Amino acid sequence: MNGWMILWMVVLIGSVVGFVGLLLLVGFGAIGELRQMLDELRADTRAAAEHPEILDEAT
Amino acid sequence: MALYATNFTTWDWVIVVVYLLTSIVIGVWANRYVGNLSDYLVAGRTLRIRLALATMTGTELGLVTVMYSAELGYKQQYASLYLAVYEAAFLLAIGLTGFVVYRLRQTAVLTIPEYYERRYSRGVRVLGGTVMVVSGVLNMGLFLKAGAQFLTAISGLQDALFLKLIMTGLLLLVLFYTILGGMVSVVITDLVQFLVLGVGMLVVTGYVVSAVGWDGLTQVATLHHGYIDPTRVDNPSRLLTSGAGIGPGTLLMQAMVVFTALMLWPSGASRTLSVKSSDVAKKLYLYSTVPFLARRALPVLWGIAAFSFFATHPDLLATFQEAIQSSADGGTAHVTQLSAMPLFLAKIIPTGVLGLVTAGMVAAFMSTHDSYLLCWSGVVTQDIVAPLFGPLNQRRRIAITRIAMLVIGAMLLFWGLWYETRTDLWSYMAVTGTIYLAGVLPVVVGGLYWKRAGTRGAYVALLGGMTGILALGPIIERINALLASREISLRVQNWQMVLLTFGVSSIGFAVVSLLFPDRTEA
Repeated sequence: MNGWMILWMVVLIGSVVGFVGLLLLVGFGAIGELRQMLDELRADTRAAAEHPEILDEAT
Repeated sequence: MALYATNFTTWDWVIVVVYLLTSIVIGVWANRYVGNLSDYLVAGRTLRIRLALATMTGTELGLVTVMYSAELGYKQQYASLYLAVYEAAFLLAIGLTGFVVYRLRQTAVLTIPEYYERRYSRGVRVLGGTVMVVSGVLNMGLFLKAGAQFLTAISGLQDALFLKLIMTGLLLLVLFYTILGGMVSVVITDLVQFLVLGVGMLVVTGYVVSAVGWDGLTQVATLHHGYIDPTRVDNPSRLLTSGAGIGPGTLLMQAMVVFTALMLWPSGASRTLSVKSSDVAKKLYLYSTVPFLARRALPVLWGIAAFSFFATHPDLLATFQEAIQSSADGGTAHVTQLSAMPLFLAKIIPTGVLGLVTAGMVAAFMSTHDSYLLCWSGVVTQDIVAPLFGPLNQRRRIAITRIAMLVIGAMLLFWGLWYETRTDLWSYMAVTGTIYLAGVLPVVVGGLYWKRAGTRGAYVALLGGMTGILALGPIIERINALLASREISLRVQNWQMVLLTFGVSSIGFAVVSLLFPDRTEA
């Protein structure tokens, strides 16, 4: 196996291992972050409902 | 074994349809969280690192990425992995230094053209927005066809009519939920799509490796004289008739395109601008090294395995190449070398699992389309319509964004149905992307890091990027035909035109900025 093939094999194996790690990292924390995001967005929707005139201000 | 033999059955269709319906429900549900324009365009800038990673990966790991990477793997085998190395290395460098992305997020703009107005002028914003949309829609033009080609090849549908119907259906579906829920909808569906797609990619890789085996993968390099060294200009593989070479010129051109696209491609930049802070933006790039390496490397592996599979089934290879020729001559089936990977997967992945994998790939398709549609239509509203016809209120801006999305969707359908690329899909995308990238590189980098960067220089750089159109396949063919008719032996290649475009924009920007500086207030 020459130098190029060794490099390509390292890239391929590194991709698989890294991708598994990423799936675990994101899978175990993203739902909580999504909940936080929706809570923050709910504040915006409430503000828009209480003060619809904000949406009519031209900028 | 027949070329269109597949393990895809009604059960697999059911799995795919259930998944599609789930996406619609999520899209409709997300609409309740859109309170204002910022929520619609950048999800109120509420993204934290894991969610940002999921949505960035979901967007940038599209079915089109899977298809063009597998096509390169099939045509150029291991040598095509250089693109995966480029992306990982450049992302690592950007993530460690925060080059461009840190300062760009600090400006708190919603889009890149908005930055043009703050740094240069309103005119630069409108011109920059227009160039961005033209380049982006051209770039996206073949996404639909690539996605539909995957579905038709994997499910065994051969008629070109099915290809058109599937293209239309997929587009309508994405338009429906993106128009309703904007970025909030995109982020939630991207998370689901990231998980489905991620598991699907690992499952496919497992089946591919077990089908071909270690021997099959190494024999590509030895027995079949595959392409290993990307610095070689000629493709040594004699198995395929149209396996283009790479070489130093293409390596340099791709380095420019990939590096600039990673920092400033609008859909990626919109993630940079959606995160909570500049530090998260920097971290996002650092952590994206892994998924970006995988998004290129794994589909290339599938393409290499497809090459190995066809190499060991010469009858099937002959039928495949006949089908490609027949398609090019106007046959009813639409088959190109893009079809190699899905035709291969259709034979090695069992029923049921194939449905899940296809749902993963449809997820990849949708997560890219939704972000891209939102990104370009947001630019139309914020950076072209509003500066020209404003001021506009938020309701009107959201309505214009939705209309722009419909118009862009119609253009994509039209372009996808009739345009035939004469190069591989990735080359087409690199060339169309250059129209925007060549201009944005000096204008944004210069604006962020060079005090003397000027408005006139920015105009020249953005217009200079339009010379990238000359690198499109049909235009290169015309230039070469003209040279041949005048008995000039010189032949133009697309990498030369792409580098020329970057040169024209960057040098033009620097020279004009120095010669015609902006007037400073006394």
